[in-house]
Amino acid sequence: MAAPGGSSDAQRRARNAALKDYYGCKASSEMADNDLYNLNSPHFNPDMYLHQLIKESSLTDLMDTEANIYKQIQSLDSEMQTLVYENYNKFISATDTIRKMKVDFKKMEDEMERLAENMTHITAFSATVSDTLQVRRDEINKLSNTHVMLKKLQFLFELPAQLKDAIDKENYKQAVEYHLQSERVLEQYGTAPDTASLQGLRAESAQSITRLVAALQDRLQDDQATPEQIRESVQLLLQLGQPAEALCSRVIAHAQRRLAGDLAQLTSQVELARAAADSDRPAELRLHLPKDVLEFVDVDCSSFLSNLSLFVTSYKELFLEPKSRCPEAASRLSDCVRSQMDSLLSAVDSRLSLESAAGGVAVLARALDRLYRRLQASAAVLPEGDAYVRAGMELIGGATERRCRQSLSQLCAHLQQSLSAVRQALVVPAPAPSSAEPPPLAEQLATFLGGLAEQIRAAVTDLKAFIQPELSFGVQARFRNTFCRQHVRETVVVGFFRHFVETCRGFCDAAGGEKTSPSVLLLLSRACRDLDTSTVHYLMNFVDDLLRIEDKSGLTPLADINSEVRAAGQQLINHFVRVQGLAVSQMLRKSVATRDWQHANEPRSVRSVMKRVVEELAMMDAQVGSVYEEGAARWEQHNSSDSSRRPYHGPGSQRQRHEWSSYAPSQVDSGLVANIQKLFSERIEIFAPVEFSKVSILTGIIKIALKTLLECVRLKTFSKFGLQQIQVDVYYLQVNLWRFIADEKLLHGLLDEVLGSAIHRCLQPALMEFSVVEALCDRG
Amino acid sequence: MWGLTLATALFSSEDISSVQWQLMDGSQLLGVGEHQLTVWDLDTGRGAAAVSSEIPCPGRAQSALTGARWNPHQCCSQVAAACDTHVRGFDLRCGQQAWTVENADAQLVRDLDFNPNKQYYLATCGDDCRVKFWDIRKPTAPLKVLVDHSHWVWRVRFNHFHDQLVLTSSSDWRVLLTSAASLSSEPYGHLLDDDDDGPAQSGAQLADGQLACCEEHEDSVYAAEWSSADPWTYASLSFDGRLVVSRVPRQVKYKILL
Repeated sequence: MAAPGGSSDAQRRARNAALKDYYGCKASSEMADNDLYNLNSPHFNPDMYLHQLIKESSLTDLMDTEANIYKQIQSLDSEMQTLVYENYNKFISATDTIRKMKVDFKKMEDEMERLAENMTHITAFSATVSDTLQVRRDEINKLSNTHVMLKKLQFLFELPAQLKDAIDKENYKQAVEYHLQSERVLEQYGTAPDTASLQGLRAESAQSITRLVAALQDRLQDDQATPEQIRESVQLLLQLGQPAEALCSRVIAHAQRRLAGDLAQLTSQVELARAAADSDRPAELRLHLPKDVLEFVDVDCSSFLSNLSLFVTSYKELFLEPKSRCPEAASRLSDCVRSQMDSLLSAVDSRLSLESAAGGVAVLARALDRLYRRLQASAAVLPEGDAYVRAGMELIGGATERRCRQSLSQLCAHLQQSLSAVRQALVVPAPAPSSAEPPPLAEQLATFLGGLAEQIRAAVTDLKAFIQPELSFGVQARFRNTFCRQHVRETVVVGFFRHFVETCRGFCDAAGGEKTSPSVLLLLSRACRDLDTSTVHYLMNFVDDLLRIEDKSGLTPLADINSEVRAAGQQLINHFVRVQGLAVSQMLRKSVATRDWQHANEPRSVRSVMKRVVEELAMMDAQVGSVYEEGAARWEQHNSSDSSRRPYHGPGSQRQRHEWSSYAPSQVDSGLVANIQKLFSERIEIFAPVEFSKVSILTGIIKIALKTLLECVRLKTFSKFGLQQIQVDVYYLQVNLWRFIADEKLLHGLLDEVLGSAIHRCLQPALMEFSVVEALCDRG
Repeated sequence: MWGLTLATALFSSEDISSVQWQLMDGSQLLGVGEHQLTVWDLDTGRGAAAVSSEIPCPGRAQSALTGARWNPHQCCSQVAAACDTHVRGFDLRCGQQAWTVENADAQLVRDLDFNPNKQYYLATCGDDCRVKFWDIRKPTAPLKVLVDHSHWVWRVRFNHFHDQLVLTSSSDWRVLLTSAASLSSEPYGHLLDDDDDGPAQSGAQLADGQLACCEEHEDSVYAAEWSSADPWTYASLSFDGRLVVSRVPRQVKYKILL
């Protein structure tokens, strides 16, 4: 039974509308009903009112109402009477006024009639007067016409003289005015038959005009003429109807001559600057000191630009406004301006490129700012001015980029300087190595790194002068962007780090690396490590903050630089280990190679070369220790100093020693033992990369040295005493080297192999008593 | 068993560390002494040997000769000796030094070998862990440097037939078989005219690089040599007396042959 929602809504609305309609009508009719009962209403119905009153009210009410109404009626009556009386009085006074007016009007009518009569009289008189004057007026008209013509003729006759006079007095403007007037007159009489006198006049005036034109043309040729004079002359020539095209070229030529002077001034300044930069030139050529770049831009460029602007303005007024007088005027002007601007910009460019790194950044920045402002100011005047502003902007970009490169090369030069300083400082104490004196390495490292960071900071802060907010070009987003991101960050800072890495790599190359002192390698490797862990991060953040570089996409990420620096550091430390390892190897190799092992005497002591090796390693240890941390060693095995000997004469070694002595006669067996031993030991990478720690570095060096010893021993043949000497040496190394090395097993393995090989290579393999070996080493 | 009889005795003024037959007809013998090379002429018919020439090698007193090789080209008229950090070539006809490769190794040259098929090409190895290839006409810079070993390299040998295969042994306990195809006498890269099957062929060609690594040894490997009978077999000998005979990997062989 419920209708669907939508249709029921519509129905209800329709119903409501109908009801509203109905009640609206009802309401208005009710209002009308109310009117019927209202005493003051125009629709008042007394019968219905009375009827209702009787019907609705009580008796007392009725009485009251009656009294009330009666009172009202009386008051209304009296009011009416007063009104009637007042109106009556007014009416009477109005009637009087109307009567008086009637009399006045009659009088006026009579006067008007008399006036009309007089007017007709006057008209008649004036007509007679004008009739009498008619004849005279015609005559006067004729006379005045004649007078005007006579005046003109007189002017014509006087013209040649006046023209000549004006030309002689260089009052060209006056002359042209006269000429133009005469032209008009002559044109007026052009149709009239030429009298001889008129012809003469024409010829004479034409002659003068030719003189005038020649004089004006001369002035155009004159380089000394001011722009105002030129302008006046050209204006006059144009009025004289000279061809605009020829004038165009003359004006342009004149301007070019004038601007050439300015340009010569500019180029002479550039030459002076070049001469000053070229200190080889003889002194007399450098007598004239060049203006600095700020003055150059401020004075020379500005004067050139203002002259050019002046010329362009007057040219435009002359030839282009309000309409072009010559079709090619505009293109000629822009050609001329373009060539002038090109030469200006190239002169400025060569001047800027001569600006050396020694000059302050602030001066250069201000000079560029001035240049940019001047260009902007003249852009409004010059045709295609925006293009020159753009070109100027490019120029500025080039100059700033050049500046960045200069500061990069300054940084690189400084790096070289500080490197050689470090080298010198490290070389000086080398001849007198005394361990008591504190190692200068750490100190040098600190100064080196500090200097590096300081230089970079100073360079970047200097370069920031180019993006000061008060510089007009510095605020341009595009310039700012490229400058900060590409030039300062990438070229200078990242470029410098790259250069640093390159330099470090250079030290590792076989060619240059041999000459470098190992301590420099060590210091540089540590410097790389410090750069990697903190300095690079700090400096890059500093740069990014200073230049407000937020978007880092497209830029070299910090991690890349870090990893490059880290790789360089690793390379350096590896190279250091190699160089030092080879140095120790060299000593061992010589000591083994030069000795006659077959005819050796019974060992009395440790060979001195072993002591030197240990000393050398101790020195390296101190050197590395001054720069690198200890690193993780397996110290837990031996905490007391005398435990250092234990591994050797501990049960394992003891047994091994016994094995050697017992199996020694049989070569096969000892080889078997060695093989079995090796089954359980790991392969040793000799020239493996090392970690950045003292122990790891020393381990690397010792590994290289001992492997060399091993190989050298294998090339020799030993007698019994030769073998025993090796035994003593090996034990000495064992006792003294453990404190440098991370993994003692490695040391033992290598030394055992040395001894094993010596046994192999021995004709009568018989080892010494261990106590004797110990005693010999202790004595050493 | 054959009974061995002494054919001839060789005499020299110095200790001889190694001898080598002349490669052409075996009529000469080269002995490497400490500071000089000795060449003997053998007369097999009479069982006699005479010293043909003794060539002193210039150098410091401490630096002994570490090795020498016959040059297989030019009728074996040249020998080359490794002396300290240099390689010196001697002309046997006049007994003079003919050419030299200065500083062929940063530390010490251990061994050298001539390319059997390219007459000016030479390989050296030594204590700087590198194997270097030289053109003896231009001894200022190596043609190629291999840095695969982590310790001294004791021996370098070209394969007699396929000279792109280079065998090296080192005291890092490894024997490496390396391809130096770019320096070999066999065509390399796109030297062949590009036919339709060009790309397929170049894909199958051997590139430069390490081909095989023999890690069987557990001590320094002091000798490595190609088999003279089979071009694909080589042997290496280490300090502990272990001899390992290996083959060139099959796919390498196919790449070279196909």
